Amino acid sequence: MTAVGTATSSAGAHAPALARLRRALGGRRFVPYYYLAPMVVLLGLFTYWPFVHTVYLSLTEWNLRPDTPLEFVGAANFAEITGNRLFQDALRNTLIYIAGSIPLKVLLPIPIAVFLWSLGPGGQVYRSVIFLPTLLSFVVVSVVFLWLLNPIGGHAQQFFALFGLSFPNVLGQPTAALWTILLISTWKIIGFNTLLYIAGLASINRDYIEAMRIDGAGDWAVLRHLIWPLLTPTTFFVLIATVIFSIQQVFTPIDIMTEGGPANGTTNLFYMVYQYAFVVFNVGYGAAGTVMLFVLLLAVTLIKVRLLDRHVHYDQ
Amino acid sequence: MRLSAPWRVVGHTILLALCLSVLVPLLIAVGTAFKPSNEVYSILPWPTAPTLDNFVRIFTDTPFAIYTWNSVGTTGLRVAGQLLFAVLTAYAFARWDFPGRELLFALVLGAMMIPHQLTMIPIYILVAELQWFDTWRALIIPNLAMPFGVFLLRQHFRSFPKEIFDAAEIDGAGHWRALWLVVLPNLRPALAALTIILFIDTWNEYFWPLLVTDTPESRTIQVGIRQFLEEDFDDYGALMAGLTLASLPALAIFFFFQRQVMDTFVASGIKG
Amino acid sequence: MKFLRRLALALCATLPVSTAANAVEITFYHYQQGNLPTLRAILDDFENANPGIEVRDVFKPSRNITADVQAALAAGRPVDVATVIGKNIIFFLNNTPAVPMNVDGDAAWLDAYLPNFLDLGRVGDKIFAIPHAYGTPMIYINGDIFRAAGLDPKDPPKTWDEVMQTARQIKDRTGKAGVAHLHASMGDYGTMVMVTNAGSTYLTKDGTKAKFDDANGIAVLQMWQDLATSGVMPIANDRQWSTAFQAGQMGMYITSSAALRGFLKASDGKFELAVANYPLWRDQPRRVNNSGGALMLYSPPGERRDAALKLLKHLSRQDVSNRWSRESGYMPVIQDPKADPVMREYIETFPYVRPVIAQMAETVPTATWPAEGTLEAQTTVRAMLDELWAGKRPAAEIVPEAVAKVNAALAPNRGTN
Repeated sequence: MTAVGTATSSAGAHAPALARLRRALGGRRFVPYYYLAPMVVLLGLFTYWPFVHTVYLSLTEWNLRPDTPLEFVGAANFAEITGNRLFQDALRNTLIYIAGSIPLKVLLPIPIAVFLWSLGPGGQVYRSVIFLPTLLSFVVVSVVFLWLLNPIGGHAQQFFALFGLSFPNVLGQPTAALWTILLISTWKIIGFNTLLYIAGLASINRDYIEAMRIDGAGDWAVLRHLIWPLLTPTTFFVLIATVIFSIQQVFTPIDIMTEGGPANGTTNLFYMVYQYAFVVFNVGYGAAGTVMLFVLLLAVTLIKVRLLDRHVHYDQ
Repeated sequence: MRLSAPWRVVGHTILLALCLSVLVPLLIAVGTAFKPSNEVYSILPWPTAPTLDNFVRIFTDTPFAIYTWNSVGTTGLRVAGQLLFAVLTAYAFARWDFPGRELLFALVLGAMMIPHQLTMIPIYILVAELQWFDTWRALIIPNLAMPFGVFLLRQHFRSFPKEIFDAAEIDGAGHWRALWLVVLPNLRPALAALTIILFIDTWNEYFWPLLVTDTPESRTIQVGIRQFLEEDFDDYGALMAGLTLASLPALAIFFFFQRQVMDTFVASGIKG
Repeated sequence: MKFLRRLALALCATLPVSTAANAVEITFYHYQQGNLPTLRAILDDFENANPGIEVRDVFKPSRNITADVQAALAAGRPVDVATVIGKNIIFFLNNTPAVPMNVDGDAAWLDAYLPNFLDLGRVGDKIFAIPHAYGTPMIYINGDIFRAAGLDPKDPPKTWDEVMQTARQIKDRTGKAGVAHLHASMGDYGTMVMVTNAGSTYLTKDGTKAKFDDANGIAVLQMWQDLATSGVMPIANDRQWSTAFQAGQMGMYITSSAALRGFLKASDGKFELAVANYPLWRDQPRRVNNSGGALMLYSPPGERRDAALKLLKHLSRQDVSNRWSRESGYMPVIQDPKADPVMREYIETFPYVRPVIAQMAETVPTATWPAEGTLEAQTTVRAMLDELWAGKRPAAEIVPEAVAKVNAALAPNRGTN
């Protein structure tokens, strides 16, 4: 960047040098890098630099005060975090959130998308309604569900009472609370994931379907042998994105509905690290937790890429 | 393509149930926006004495027009930038084989796994250092790179027949013109879906804009409206009213762009 | 960094310039939304009385204010006066460049405050925080439910035993929920108040050791378990209890006085709202921890610090402080509020404020947490409550285990000093 700057500013004096530079930089083999440059610079400055800084802080004990010395503690923060109960509960829940998200947020939208796609323009109302939760602020959604599920005269309870039944206090019990939050986060995102699949379906050439139909293929055969393979790039994308974002996505409902309880039943690594960094201000723990979160997501993603990418069909 | 009758019955049943699960909470949220303060907690989803008080409070107690302008301006610029950079990046990855391609792609993808909310403090200090504090720049520039978008577009690019690139080249269009004239039009469904989610994501963002703004003049709707959730006193009426209003632009964007997704679909349907 | 700064300066030639050239600007971080007009009016009065000083107020929500103030200090942005949540005070004393308010000679103005209210920010003979937005826990009563249960809202329960009986009677006669006691973020504040009032020690003053596994602590937490297992207190969280009480579904709710404004609005025309003092535990005197935030000083020496101290002194004036209390609903914090005629009339005509006045002298500082192990300790307290309410084991087994875990988590803070 600096090199380019000096070259252009002294252009008048060194015209031949500039021409040489232009020839060198204008060559075809540099073209892809020009396209990539803005993204790389932005990511470097605002994602990787802060991350490197975070990795550095994870090895220290410091309180952010510019006038106080920073103490290098090596891997102590990591050892201390992983050694305690809160981390173990958060890790267990994180894995459940990720595992539970795959059938609910990745697979369930596929049949819904195929069905809506088969309806053509007639599916407009369905598409719009199931997309609405994606638009709403998650704060509002969390507050409303808290009302709905209130064990003291909440809507669900009063509705069940009409039939002489009682609605369980789902947020009062650790396992039920976790699945409640998982279901609410599914409810929130399902419309968008369906839309992604519909966008994937939209690029399927209908001639193929007609051809298969003429050959006597039924619904199932078309789904199995044409639509599913052609949806695999989208599915792959939704899978990776869901795994990466699922534990961040439940942040707001956890924060508003349970604060991680009962008995650490709904907390996850993201929420725990957030608390370290922004509720109790332990800079070293917050940073170490962020690094661990990154490593976990990277590992899960790499496993998925290894296992799945070769099953993805990119050609029609 | 039409599904057979039993599939259709199952499909409609599930979709109707899903829609019901969406509409009930939505009714409660919108109903609460019209409730007077002594009905907010009542079990009835709709008000018995409907009032516009909550909306009035939004406009009198907060500079709502300024919040809206900041939200619209920063979201618009940011999403435009995010789309542009994502398209350029994904195009380069899909089109050329070049030294370092795998490494660079891994770096872009790896950035998705760095939880932004948790690395806010170093970015905050950088933004303060750059003197961007309390300006649109702070809201827009640190968030312009969207690896998620690059990944989505690359997945779509990869299912493009290579001939599209080659055909454009033979026609004499350079890589730059080919991108805009040939490649982008074929990406419309994916771009439309991406625009929708980027818009909603930016529009609903809370922690970052809160951290880097000090004054109502530079704050966004989400930050402004959440002020009604206070310690010991949650003004849910105003909260629901404000966030209902705040959802309307997102709704408009959704309707406009989902048509782009569907138009393509209908067009290819006619073609087939 | 230098390079970035230069790059930025080159990119953006025009930057927002501060207002009047010769005025001293001080920055005041607060979390007031509904009360902002009152706060701003007080600040405006101060500005008018002190030409040449401008007070820039910066709103941050109470949940984020501590993190945001810390970030601002770390980034070197101006912070002169900051509202700090009570339980974070020790952390701020140890980890931010707070300035004591009583070292530059003139400290007489601090005598306006009740001494027990200054304890929160007292370290040795230095005062680092003054009370500003305090609350105190009290019983809120649904008068209609009381009458339906054959009870008199004018004769509210005074002790925990009476609370228990009253809640039972409400549950049995009306089928409604009897009582709930706030729990607050991480189950911490609620537990703190309950054991402190029972004569136990929640945390030592330096925040490094929990001691509520004594007889009183265990007994009162056993009672909290009994409230849950007997069914008079439905197991839920603060938002849900608060919602239920405001919907007229619950007989009594014990929470902060700061909730009064909201409860008055919710009950208006729906049910009769009454209030009572926080219940007594057996023969123990009442001791309730304050909730809410205090003000801390961060100005660098020079004209900004002088201006900020002037502002703090202004806020400590009897008329200003009492006006803030009346209009915001926070606890009065200066000595003898009834000596102020406006305040006396307010107390006489507004009965809802009486528990707050009565409990002023019975207020003890909120327990404060150190830097290390706090999250583990607080989540342990929260998990302890969840386990108590589940009722599978008695408090005598659960509480000592939890206290041991809290102390193990806080151990690093004890060694280093």
